[in-house]
Amino acid sequence: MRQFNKKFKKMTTRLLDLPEDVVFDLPRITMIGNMQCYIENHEGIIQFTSNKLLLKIPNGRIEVTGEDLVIRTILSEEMMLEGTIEGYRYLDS
Amino acid sequence: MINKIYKTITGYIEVEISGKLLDVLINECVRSNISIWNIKKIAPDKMRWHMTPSQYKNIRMLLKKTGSRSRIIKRSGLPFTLHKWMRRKFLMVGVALFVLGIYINSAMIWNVEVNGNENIHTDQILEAADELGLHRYQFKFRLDDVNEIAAQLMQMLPDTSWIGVEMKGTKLKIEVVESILKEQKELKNPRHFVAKHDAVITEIFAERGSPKVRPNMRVKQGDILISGVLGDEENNKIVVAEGKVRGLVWYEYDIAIPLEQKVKTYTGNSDSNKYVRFGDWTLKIWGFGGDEFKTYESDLEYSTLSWRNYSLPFGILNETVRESQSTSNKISLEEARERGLQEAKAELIQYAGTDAEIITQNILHQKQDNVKVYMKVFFEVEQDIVVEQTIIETTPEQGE
Repeated sequence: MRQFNKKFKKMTTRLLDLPEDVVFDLPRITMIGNMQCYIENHEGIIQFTSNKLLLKIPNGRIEVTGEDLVIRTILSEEMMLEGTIEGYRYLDS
Repeated sequence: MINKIYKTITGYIEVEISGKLLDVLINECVRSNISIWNIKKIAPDKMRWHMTPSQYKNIRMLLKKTGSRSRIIKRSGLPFTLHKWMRRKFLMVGVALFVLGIYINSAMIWNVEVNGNENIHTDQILEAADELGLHRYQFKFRLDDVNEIAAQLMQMLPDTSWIGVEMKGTKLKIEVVESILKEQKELKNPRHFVAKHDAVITEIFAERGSPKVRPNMRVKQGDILISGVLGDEENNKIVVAEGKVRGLVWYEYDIAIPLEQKVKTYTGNSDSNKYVRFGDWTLKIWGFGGDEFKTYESDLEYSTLSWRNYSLPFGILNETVRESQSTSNKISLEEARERGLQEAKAELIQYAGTDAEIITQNILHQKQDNVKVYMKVFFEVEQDIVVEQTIIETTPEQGE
């Protein structure tokens, strides 16, 4: 049933040309060079240090690594991260 | 950018949080709509963030829940700055007084300057200006328009043909153009004209008064030439004698002229020294070990840094030393005599007046030794021989 649900959603997106982050409840990450990272649709911080940010998202977690990381703004669904960002990756998705 | 300005106006605080569950705390804050920003981790169990001061009390519950403690590190923004300034009341009063002082001082006349007057005394103009309120420590806004002041000032000073009043910052300039007045005759006492020297009259012209001598008459020093008393002994009137009397006067001069004339010349060798000077204290810094001159002339040139009329009390002194030598020229007898006569004539003209005319000159006697020529010279000079003598009126009764 879950498999079918996912397939159906994928099909509708393709057919109706909807943005996938809306339909699948995925995070939208915008990066400006390696200086700023804008993350939408997160579900809270799991761990934050000056060189790592672990963020909960609907289907797992995102890990952002870098140096001198500072959370510029944080709201319930979006946040902005600043610093020297080295990379990010998805965990458990 | 706008956000930043807004935050500066409303004010914000920097808070340091220490505890174990910091990440949970951030989430809790976000959930309870407490806006926090610039979150920084400075140690594994310490972080700092910025927040609005009004929400500081709202995080207490959350802190208790997560077992953390908070501390305000910095208060920034306008409300805090104002608060800080308001606490320093005397400083604020000082600032206000300073601004007020500057304003008052710049609204005042500090200097009244008078230019262009020659015959009218500056004090007289200043006094007239003072009556119109133009004086030191007067406020500019209490004065009338400058053109009106100028017109009023002109009425008060009748000897002027134009007055301009100009305000330059705190300086008031009064420009005066004087009207050209007729030359006033100098006042004279009733007087006689008497002879200055023993002389022979050559020319007499009495403008006023009665002439007492004729040309070719011999007069003695002190004789009346033009009398200031008109009429006879019974009916008389005393006037100011005016006129011109010229006569021949004899002069004798003893002249001695050295035959050897010393002339000083420069050899062309020179040397320059430099000194540093502080007040009266001088220190040589340049020009050691130059040639020593036996006879020399030295020029001093002192230069300091200066601005307008003010100069620094120290500077550099330049000394230029020029070697000199004196040579002696022998001159001939003729030349010596010529030179002596020239000197005597110059002296004579200076004594007798510029309108004096040398009629004859005679060398009466001449003597010469090894170094000098001695001469006795006679001059006959036609010159003005008048000197005035005041008439002191005496009533006949008292004269008896």
